[in-house]
Amino acid sequence: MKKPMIFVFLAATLFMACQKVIEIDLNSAEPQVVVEGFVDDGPGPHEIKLTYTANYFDVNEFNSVQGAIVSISDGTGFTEQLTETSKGVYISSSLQGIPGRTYTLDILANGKDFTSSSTMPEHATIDSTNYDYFPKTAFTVEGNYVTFYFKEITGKGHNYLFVIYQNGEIPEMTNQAGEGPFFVFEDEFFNELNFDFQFYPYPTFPGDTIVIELVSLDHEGFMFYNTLNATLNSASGGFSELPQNPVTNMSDGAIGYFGAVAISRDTIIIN
Amino acid sequence: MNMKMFRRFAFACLLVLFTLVSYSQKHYTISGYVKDAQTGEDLIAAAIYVDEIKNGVLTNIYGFYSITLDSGIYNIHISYLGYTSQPMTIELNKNTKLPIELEPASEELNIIDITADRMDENVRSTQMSSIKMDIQEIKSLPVLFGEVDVMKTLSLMPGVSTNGEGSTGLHVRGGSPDQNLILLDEAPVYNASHLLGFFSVFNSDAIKDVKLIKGGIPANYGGRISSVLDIKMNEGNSKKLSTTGGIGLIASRLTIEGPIIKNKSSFIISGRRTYADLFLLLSDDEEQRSSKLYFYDLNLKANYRFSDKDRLYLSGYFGRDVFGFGDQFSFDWGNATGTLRWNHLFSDKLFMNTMFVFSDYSYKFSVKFDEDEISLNSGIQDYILKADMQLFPNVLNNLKFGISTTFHRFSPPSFTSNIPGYEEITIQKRYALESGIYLLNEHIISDKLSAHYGLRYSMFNLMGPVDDYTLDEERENVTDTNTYKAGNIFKTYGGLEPRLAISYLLNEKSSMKLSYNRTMQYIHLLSNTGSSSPTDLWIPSSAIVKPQIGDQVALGYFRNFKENVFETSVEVYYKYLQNQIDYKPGANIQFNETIETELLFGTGESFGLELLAKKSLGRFTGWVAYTLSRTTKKLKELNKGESYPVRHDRIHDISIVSSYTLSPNWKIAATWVYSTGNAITFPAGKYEYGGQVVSYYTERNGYRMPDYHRMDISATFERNRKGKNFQSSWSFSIYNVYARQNAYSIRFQQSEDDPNKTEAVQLSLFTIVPSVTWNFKF
Repeated sequence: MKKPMIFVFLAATLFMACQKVIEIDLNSAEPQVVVEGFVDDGPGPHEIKLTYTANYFDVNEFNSVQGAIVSISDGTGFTEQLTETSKGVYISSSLQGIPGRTYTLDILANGKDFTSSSTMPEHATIDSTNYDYFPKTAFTVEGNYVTFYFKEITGKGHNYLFVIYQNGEIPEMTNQAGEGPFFVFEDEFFNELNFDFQFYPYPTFPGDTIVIELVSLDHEGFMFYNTLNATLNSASGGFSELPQNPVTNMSDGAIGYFGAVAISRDTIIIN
Repeated sequence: MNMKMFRRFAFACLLVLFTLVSYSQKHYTISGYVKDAQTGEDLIAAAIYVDEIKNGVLTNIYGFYSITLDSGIYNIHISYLGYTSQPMTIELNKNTKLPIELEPASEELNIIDITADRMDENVRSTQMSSIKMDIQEIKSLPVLFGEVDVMKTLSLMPGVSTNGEGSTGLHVRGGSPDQNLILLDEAPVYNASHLLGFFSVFNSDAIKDVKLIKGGIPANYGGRISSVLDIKMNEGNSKKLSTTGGIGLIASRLTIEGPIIKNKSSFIISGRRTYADLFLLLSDDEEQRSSKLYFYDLNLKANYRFSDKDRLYLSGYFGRDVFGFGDQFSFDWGNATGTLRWNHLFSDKLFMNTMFVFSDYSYKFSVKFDEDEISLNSGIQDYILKADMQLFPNVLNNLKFGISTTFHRFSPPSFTSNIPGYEEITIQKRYALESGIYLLNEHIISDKLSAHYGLRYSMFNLMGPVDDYTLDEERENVTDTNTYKAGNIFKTYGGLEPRLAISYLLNEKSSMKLSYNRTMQYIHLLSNTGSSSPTDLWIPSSAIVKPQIGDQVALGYFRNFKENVFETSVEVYYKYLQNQIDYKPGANIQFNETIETELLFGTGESFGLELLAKKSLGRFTGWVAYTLSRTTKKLKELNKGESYPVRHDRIHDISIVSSYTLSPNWKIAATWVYSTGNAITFPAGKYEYGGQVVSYYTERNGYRMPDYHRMDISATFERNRKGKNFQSSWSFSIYNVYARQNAYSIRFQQSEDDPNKTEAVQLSLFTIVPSVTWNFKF
């Protein structure tokens, strides 16, 4: 809630504020392992992607962690070792994603062991998806804005992530609102809410194929994405809170998130 | 155990008291009030110096003084900075009432005349580490947007800094803004900033006296561990009706004051409102035109003198910031305080001030969309009863003692909505009693040695109605809940807070001073943004959140030169803070019934060297202040358990303030500040996740912002129209005159030109800001 306010004030003083790119000498950290991996309730295969961190001012090319031993067990005694199909990408073949089961990820890379586990939550289903046209305003770009609807699951402890794909890709945010880019939601203060969510940062246009994903994830996942947003939106100094790494569910200094998730998808074509 | 200790302490206080009273029976007392001859305002800390005993006293905050001497003939000088001193000779053979009125010194007054007075408070006073601001001096200095701000001027003194550009939260000797006890006519002010910290809530037209105590805090103050900022409002001209005001770039001010009954009762009403939102009306966008963005302050005060012995004061402050977009969105916050005080003289040696104080800080937030509505509000309220006594047994002792109790009501955010599926969230209110009892003596031990020693006992009782919970050792889950009824005390903290200040006069021109104080703070401000935010949350101590404890020692050398024209001081301090609060990553401090699950606790440390050279007399006045300091924090869970610099840790901090009276009409002033950049966290690397390039952080506050420096200039034109009732002046100011682009924040982000790269982007706020203000008085 402090965010829109900051926005208003900055807008009022913007004629005086100025921005410039500056040179800063940064220390470099030892490369760390970054995990991005999911087991979902679809047919699979499930994918674990392993990369390294890079120096801050290097180009955005991130070395992959190759030759690691990656395995996932499903809590019922079944364990599968994943196959590296391309650099740093490890794929499962027979692992089944079933809500309620706890999946444990084990990675052995460069002699170091990293683990994590995640319990797949109940599947929440998208009821419907539509879009509305909005003209240009002071804060938003002209376009069709997609909204989807679902009913929040009865009881407490549900966490959701909303993802939009525009023609197969996650679009860049056009309208900045000081939030996102990962739209996560927890039900701590809600119950059986008839939820509608408009992807307001993303204008879409006639001819676009839009896929919406409603991802149910565990609370560690909510914490990870919530703090990842904070990391992405933070600045050093000013009003910003102290920049910190997102809260990971990986052990032993690895970064990122491993999640067992349930996904509901819906597709809509903009006319 | 605590109650027992409390009683024993009270008893000891009384014992000391009676011995002193009986001892002082044989002498005669001169007492009275010192006032401004033109407005009737009481003068605070005016010096009454007795030549024969080479000693003197200062008036208290109500302008009252009392000196007890042997019978005889005495030459007395009464002086106050900016006023013509008044010498008098009196024959003392009975208790004497001696009211004094001082004439304000005119600009043309010869410097020599003024310096003939005893202007050596810097050297002679026992209190060290304290800053007294002259409001007239503050008003002639350059300012941002034409708004005079005591908080910003205070940050130009050694040991005091703000968080950065346009911030008014004061860091005093490494402390955080919530560790300052900010009192406006004795009422605590919980959020002293407007517009996210760009302006402070103190309208300089309504203020009479500003005093900041950085160390050696006397025992009559309690409740915060870092400093005391004691602000007194004007009482109102008791001789004639007068109006002052100003029209500035972003705000206008109007003050009306005058007698209700001449010389008996007076009032003052002072208001200020910004009109930045009026610019929004120029917008062609409907949404922007219906937006609101302003703040206002209203100070009210009245007093009534029943007799020489009794005087009643009623003062109030109301201020609010208002934001809004049409009727869809509104957000407002502010303080309201009220103080009712009764001054009573039991005798010419015993002065009492009893008061009832109310203070409220709250914010409201609401969003409406068609039929749907959500709203949110939160706040803190205090009800305070307090009695302070001052006993002047003899000229060598000035005894102060008193008792106070505060009822705190903490209202964490509560959220309501009419949308189905939204649950009402009410984080339960918390109630607490905070009490204190103190005794202190300002004791002149010999010609050279004097001391202020005191003891404060403070106590904090948490009380119902509340469902108090117990957490497991990891502070993650609730293991037990106990329900307490209204008024039931279920948890008590308390502690002794010794305070000591000693000064030793080396010679007429120089002195050494030493002080130690322990301070305790039972309420805490949770804020995880870098600046003051209206939604920052005050919480009481609890079973898990322990009271903050601060210990500080300071040592200083004070020397005046050239007949007190130049004042200099060197001070060093060391401060150790216990039970300091920080937050777990991703902490939810807004809506959390079990807020302790999000908090981390550790210690803080600060030490520094402060140099000040000041010239307060003559056509050219000003000061140079330098601070060398380090402030760190240490928490087991953060930064691998190693201590790290806090954000406002600045190694070097220099302020140069100068002001020159060119002619009777023109006065010019300039300030220059330089400081090491704030300690800040920069990334040590980056990685990719979910298609985003994310910064990777290792060391907490391991880097520095670029050095900060800035120069501001101002000129004041005032034509003294003799014999005319209407006087006016113009103030011109340029903030950041050489347009230095100081870093407000640095953002690390994907390059806009080349998405394959990342870059650091520096945001600078005010590059160069001219302003003009027209002030008037009639």
